[in-house]
Amino acid sequence: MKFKYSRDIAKVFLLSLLVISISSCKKDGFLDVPAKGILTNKSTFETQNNAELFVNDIYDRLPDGNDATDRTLEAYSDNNNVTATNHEAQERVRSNALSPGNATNGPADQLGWIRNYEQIRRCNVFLKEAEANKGAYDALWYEQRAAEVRVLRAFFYSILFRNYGGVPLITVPLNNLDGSDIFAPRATIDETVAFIEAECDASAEILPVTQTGKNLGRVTKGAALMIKGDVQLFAASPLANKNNDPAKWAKAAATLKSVMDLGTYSLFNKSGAPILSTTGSGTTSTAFRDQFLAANNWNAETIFARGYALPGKGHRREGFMGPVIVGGSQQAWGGFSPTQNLVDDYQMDNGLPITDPASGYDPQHPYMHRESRFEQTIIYDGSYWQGEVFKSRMGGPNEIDLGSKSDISNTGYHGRKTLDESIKGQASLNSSPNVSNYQFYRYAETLLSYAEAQNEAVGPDGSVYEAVRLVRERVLLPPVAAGKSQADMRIIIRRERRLELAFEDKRWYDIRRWEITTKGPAVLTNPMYGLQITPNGNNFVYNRVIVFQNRYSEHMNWLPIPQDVMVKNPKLVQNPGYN
Amino acid sequence: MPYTNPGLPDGVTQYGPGVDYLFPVALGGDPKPSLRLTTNENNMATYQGILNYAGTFGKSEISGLLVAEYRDVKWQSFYAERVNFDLSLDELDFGGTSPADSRVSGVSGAQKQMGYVYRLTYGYAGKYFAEAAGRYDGSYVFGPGNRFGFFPAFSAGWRISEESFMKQISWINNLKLRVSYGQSGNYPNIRNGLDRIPDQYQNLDQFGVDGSSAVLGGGITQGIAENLQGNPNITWERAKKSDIGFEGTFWNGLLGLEADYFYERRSNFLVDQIGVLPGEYGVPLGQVNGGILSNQGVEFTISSFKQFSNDLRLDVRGTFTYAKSKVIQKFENASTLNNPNRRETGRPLGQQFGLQSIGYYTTDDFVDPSEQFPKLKPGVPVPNWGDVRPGDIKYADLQSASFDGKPDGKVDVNDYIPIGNAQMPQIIYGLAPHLTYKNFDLDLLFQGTARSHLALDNYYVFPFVGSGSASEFVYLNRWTPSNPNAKYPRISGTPPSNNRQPSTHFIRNASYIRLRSAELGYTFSNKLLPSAVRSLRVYASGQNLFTWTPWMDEPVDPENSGSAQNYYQQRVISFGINATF
Repeated sequence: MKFKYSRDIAKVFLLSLLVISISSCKKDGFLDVPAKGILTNKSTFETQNNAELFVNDIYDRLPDGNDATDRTLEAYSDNNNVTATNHEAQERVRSNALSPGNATNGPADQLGWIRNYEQIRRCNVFLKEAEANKGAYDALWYEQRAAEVRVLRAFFYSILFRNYGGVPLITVPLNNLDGSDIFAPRATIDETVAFIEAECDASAEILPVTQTGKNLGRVTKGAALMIKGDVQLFAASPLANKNNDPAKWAKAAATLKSVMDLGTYSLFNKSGAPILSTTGSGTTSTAFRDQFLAANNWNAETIFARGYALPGKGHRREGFMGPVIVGGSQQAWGGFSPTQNLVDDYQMDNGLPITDPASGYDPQHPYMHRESRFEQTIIYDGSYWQGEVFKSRMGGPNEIDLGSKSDISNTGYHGRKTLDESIKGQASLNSSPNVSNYQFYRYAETLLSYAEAQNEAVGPDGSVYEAVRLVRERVLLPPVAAGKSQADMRIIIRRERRLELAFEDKRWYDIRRWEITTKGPAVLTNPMYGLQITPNGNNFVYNRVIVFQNRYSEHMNWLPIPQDVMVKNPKLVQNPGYN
Repeated sequence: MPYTNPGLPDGVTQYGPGVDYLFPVALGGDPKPSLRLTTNENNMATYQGILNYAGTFGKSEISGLLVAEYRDVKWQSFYAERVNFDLSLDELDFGGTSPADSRVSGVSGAQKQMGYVYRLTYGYAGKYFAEAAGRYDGSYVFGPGNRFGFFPAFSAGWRISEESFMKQISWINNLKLRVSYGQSGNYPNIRNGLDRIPDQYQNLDQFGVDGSSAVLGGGITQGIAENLQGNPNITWERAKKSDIGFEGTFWNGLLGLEADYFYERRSNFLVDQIGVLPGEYGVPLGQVNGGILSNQGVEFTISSFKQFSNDLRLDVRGTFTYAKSKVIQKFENASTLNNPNRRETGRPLGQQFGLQSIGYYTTDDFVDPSEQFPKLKPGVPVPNWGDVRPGDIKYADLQSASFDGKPDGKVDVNDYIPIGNAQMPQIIYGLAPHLTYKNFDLDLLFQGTARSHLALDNYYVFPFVGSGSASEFVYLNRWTPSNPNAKYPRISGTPPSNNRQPSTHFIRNASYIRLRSAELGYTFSNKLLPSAVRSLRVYASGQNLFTWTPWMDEPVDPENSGSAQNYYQQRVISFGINATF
């Protein structure tokens, strides 16, 4: 009986199902499941609140330079030698192995062709959709956000330009369904620069000089002009300005001057606790280092930066970059292994380079009386880190790792600048506690970029001396002596720039645009040095050792466009030297 | 009792089971306890209606089946967490008091599917059989208008052994011919590298919410991003499979045989378009029903059963499958489509490509081999992956960028050729003998594959790559000036990119035979057992006892690939007693 009963139920139910299906034969709407968590084109842009979130996401795509594991662009240059073998810096870039089939996307894909065009598409989608929906938005809001997004797009293009040269200029979201041409050729270098200039100019007219309150961290007028000035500086440099057209330098100088003339920016100059040393002089001038602490975020020197916050959006820079052995156990990954080549560039505290016979440099006490930026940038044998003396000497806890057996530095040095000494490496790796900014541009760079461009355009006039003086003054260095030739001033400015901006991912761009990778000082074909320190009674024996033989080719100053990108767009032409 | 794990650093103690849990001092300092409560809820309702009919009319037998099914799934998960407990009490309310110490999170989703199934069978006199069946399926994963697909199937059989002219042949116990044709539907796959996007809703332009986006004004904001350009036309992938075969039993089971030939064609195969869009496109696209794939092969099953005497009995069953696929249509760009050596269309699915290794560079290839960075002699093709030295792998220069089949003095991706077979084996076979003799019984299962190739990677063959590890096997077989014909290239602190390119040098025929399982048992005679025990059997069994990879010396599991290559399948040996009381 029971069986019959259930069969009858089934019959009735089946019939009802059939009825459902017949009645809905043409419409399958009863299978609708709302796509929860998914917004559409329409719902994203029909309200200002949602469109605002779309812009937030673009800001979030700015390079996350403080949390890119232990990989930095510094290791692509002669400043830093990290050897872990899965690092492209050494395996591809400094081993002369760059090619279309062996391209680099940079730390955390920062330089990636595909990645940057993804960000550019986000900007293009916003600009197109917001334009179409602007009737629903507050007019002022729309004007501001559109200007911000155009600058962000220019910034992503500037990353592409400064690595690849001229690139396809795509300003609308590509669409393979509407019959439009989705394959764009590369623009020339001049066209690419002109595009970035025009975008920054148009937005600078609209953007405020400062962003405050809830808008802190958004693009300002100064940021727009600085991005433009940096691109113009690159475009005026030997790599992109083969005819050495002085008008290009003058244009860069004028833009950088306009940033200075805003009157908003000044060098951060508030020192905290002194830095101590047993083998060097230490320093009480710590503002140069302290500007990178979270407490000093968005100080008057900051022009454009990526912000961090807790919970969940902090970074692990101390864990990735800090010295390896602290307090007897491994704390950090040691991502900074500054080279002896960099250390040698730091001047004496009297402002003279160590190669000057009058400098007072003592090879037996190489860390005494060095300029304060050295103390603030480099952790060296005998300096203090987190309450103990850092020892990379033979037998020390961080003994120079010449065999690359561990994360410990193979140069004998680690990095101090941009790190927060109060954060232990393991705590950093465990909980991403640091919320200090990652700086894209700060005012010291404006001053040095201006000095460089002005010196190249008209020679070392008073404004060049003044800009360099301001940078040196903060770190207790005397002004540059008067009467320098243009060539001498060039050398001074280039050194100043290397030391002032070390560990800020600028050197990779500078050595390429100056064309000194394989020519002149040939920083990427000469060896990288470390310093082996052997205790000898109360003294030390200092011995320079080659830790890596760099290899590079001149044509690599422009990166190869990756093979898989080349083959998918037949209109692209590869950079010279890679064919 | 705390026990010390020898793998832990000095001074760190781990506490074992049965010990009150203490929070060891972590390397990071002094983390406080946290408590997380998680709720997962799944509601699945399946409504099913079935109509069955069976009838016999003379020698004709007819049956019919109709099923209607509707499935409605809802799921949600939710968790609440408090961190920074000062107290060791597992109550959420007693956790840290700062607002940042309280965390909640939740997510939910749903699925709806509907299907109708029918089957009609007709049989006549136990000799002739015919069947028509099919499905009409609808699913929420596709967009309106594209949700339903109809997948019919037909089959027919003829039991020849029932025919009167065959009845006289006494050694044929059963012989049946059969033929079938059927269609089936497949869902889209989760697309490569886009694991954040589910396989559903590829018909929609998708904009997703990020709950932890840019930091503006000192605080974390939410963000919205375009995740997918949808394909509004995406629908079921359709496979059409034809099969012809026979099954038979001969000599009262001494020989049982089944053999089939099948041909499957998947039209509107779901494929990615990424290969034909420029790298500047900037957003992933939904899959397209744009590919065509065929797959054909044979299947055999052979079995034998023999009782030799009262004591010895043997059962053997063997299976063998050979299948070969062919990509008939897919999205391919000019770099592979126009290069006859790299063209994927027309080749098996998963075909591997790479360079042809022709040994190692020798000192003869360089102008001055004693230089630290020696230069290649003019005329020696220049590889595209950085400097090389004696002992690095030398590849054949086979093709120019214009695909004219002539060397161009450069070794690059244009020189790729098909190397080996796809990793998915074309041949799979198994053999399972079962032997009993008196009170002993023995069960074995052999498995094997052939026509499958594995590309070796990672530190099993590239010392110091990635994690920095190196294997002794590679070290002992590396190139040195005195060992110029070594299995592996020279070792350096950084494996040269040149040596890590996909090539014949590191492709291995992964054919293997594996004794998957074996069991030997002894059952005690009842006479020997005390009356309380009804049966007693002791046995020893093992799994993965033996693997033979005749063409692969590396200690790598032939069934694994990629970074999992070092996880050899576990060998398990167990002994047991089965007693029934």
